[in-house]
Amino acid sequence: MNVNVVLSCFNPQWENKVHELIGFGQTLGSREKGKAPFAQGFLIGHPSFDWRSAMKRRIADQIVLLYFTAYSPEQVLNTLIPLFHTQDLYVFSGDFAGTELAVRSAARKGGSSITGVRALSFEGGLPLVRKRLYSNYVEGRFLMKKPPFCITLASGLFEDTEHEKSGAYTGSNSDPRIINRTDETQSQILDRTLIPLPSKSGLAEAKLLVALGYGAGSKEGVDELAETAGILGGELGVSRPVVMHGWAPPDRLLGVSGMMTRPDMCIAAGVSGSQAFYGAIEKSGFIAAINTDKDAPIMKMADVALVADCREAFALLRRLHQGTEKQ
Amino acid sequence: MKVLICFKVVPDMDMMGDWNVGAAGTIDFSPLRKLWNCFDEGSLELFLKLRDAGENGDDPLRLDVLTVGGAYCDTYLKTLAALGFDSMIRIARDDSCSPELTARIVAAFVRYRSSYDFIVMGAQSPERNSGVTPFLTAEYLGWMCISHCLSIAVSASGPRGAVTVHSHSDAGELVQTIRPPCVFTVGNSADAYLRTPTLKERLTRGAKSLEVYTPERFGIDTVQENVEMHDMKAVNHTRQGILIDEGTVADRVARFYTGYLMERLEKR
Repeated sequence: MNVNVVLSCFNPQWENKVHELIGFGQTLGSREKGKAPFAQGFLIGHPSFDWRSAMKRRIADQIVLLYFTAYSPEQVLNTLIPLFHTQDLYVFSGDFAGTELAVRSAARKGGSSITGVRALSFEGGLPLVRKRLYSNYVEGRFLMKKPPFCITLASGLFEDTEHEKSGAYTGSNSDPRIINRTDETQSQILDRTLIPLPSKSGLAEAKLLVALGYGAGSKEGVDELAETAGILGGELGVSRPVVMHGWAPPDRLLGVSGMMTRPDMCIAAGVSGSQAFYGAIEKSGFIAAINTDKDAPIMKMADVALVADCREAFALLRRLHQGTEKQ
Repeated sequence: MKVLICFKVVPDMDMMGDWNVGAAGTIDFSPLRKLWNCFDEGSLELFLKLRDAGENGDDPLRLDVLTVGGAYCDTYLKTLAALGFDSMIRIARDDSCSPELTARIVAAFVRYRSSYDFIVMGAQSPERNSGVTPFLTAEYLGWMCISHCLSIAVSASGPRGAVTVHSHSDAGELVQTIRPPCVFTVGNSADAYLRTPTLKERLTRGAKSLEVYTPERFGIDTVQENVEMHDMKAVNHTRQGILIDEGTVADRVARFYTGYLMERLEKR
C-alpha cells in the first residue's frame, strides 16, 4: 500500500499545510532513506501557481499537478478520483477543501474516510487511526476497513521537525505530470466571485495568544482587552460566542470551527474551558487562565489560574507591564 | 423552492463530569441535558430569515425539517412547528447513528419525496467531530455541495429557483449563484441562535402533527460500516492548575504577573 498526499494550493496557507503533511509523513517513518515522505503528491492549483519555486521541500516521489481556473470541488473530484489506486492510502490536508475531497473521494470509490486524524498505524494491514470525538473529551481509535483509505489531518498538530535539524527532504521534486482542466466549467454555477481573505490573521504563528471568551462581557470589553493584548505583544483569538455576538470578527475565531494554535504562551481570559474551544489552545507551551469562577474547567486545564474578573485583571496587568517596561 | 433542513439534538458534553467509557466502548449520555447542535441551530434561523425577507416572489418557499433520533426530538420539532416550518419529520432511531447511516437515511428520504431543491445541514456535530455527513449525503444523491455557508438569498438576477450563496472557503469568502439541487452546510453564520416562538405561536401552530417514520420505510436498515470503532478513552487535559485566589485583586494580579507572566513576556 502506497501512502500518497493531496493538497489544494488554492489555499493561501498551503505552505503551512505542506509542513504539516511532511511532519505527519515523518511520524510514519516507513519509507526508505532518501525517499520523499509520500509516494505520489497530487497538487491542485491555478496554472499560474509556481510549483517549482514554491515546492522547496520534497513532499512526494512523484508529483501530479492538477490545473483549474478556480477551485471547484466537483471538477476536482471528477479529475482526481480516476487517478486513485484502489489499494492506496491518501492523506489530505485538514482544511475545507481537504475534508470535502477526502470524504467524497472515498465514498465515490467505495472506500473509507476519516477526518481530523492525529496518528496513523496499521493493524492486520489496515489503517488504524486516532482522532478526537465528543467535543474533544474522548480519543478514539478507528479501523478503516475498505480501501482506498482517505484521511485528513487534525489541523495544527504536525510539525516538520526533521527539516529544522537536518534539512531533510530539501531538494527539487521530479518533473511533474500535468493535467490541465482549465477549459472546463460547471454549468450549475451561474456566477462565482471570490473575496480573498483580507490578510493572514497571524493566529497560526502567534507566540503569545490572548484568548478571550464570553466573560469579556461586551464588544467594549473585547476591544479593551484586545488593546491590552496588543500592549503585551499578543495576537487576539476569541471563542465562538464572542464572534456570534458580533464582538469580534470571524477571522479571530478559535476552536473546532476556527483556528487551531500552538503558541509558547496562551492567556485565556473569560473562557469556561469547553472542549470545543480548548482543542484550539491545548498545544500551548504554557496556559495562564483568568476566570471569576475558580471551579471553571479552564482552571484545571491551565498551568496557572487567576481568580478575577478578566477586565479588571487586564487593566492591572497593563499597568504592571507598562511599569516593568519603563524600568 | 423546497428546502429540507436537517438538524440534530445532542447531549451537552460540557455537563459531563467524569468520562467513563464502558467496556463496549460506549458512553452513557442519558443524564445530560440535550440541546440543538449549534451549527444546526444557525441553519434553521438562517432559513427563517430567508422566509422573513420574502424575496422569492411567485416561487413559494417551503421549509421542511428532519431529524434522525428518538422521541426526545419531538419537543424540538414542536418548537419548529410553532416557528412556522411546514413539515416536521423524524426518522426514528433510539441509538446513535454513524455518519454513513445518517447520510443514507437522509438521501433515501430525499429520493422518496423527490421534490427538494436544497438540503441544509450544520457543518458538524460534537459527537464525531467529523463534518462528513453532508458530504456523504451529497455523494449518495450525486448532488453538488457548498460547505460553510454564511448566508443564502434568492438570486435577484438568476433564473427561477437559483440562489446566491456566500460561503467560507480556504481562500476567502465565495459568492456563488447556483441552480438546484445542492447540499449546503452551515458553519459560522451570523445567525447563531434560533428565535424563540411566542406563546401564541406555540398554541396556534405548535400542535401541528409530526411525521414519524422508521428508516426501514425507505429501505434503510443498517449499512456496512467502512470505519469501525476500535476503542476509546477519555482525554486527560489537566495541567498544574496553580490557583491564585487569595488576597485582594491587585495582590492576586501582581502575583500572577510577576510569578508567571513577566519573565515569559520578557523572553519574547
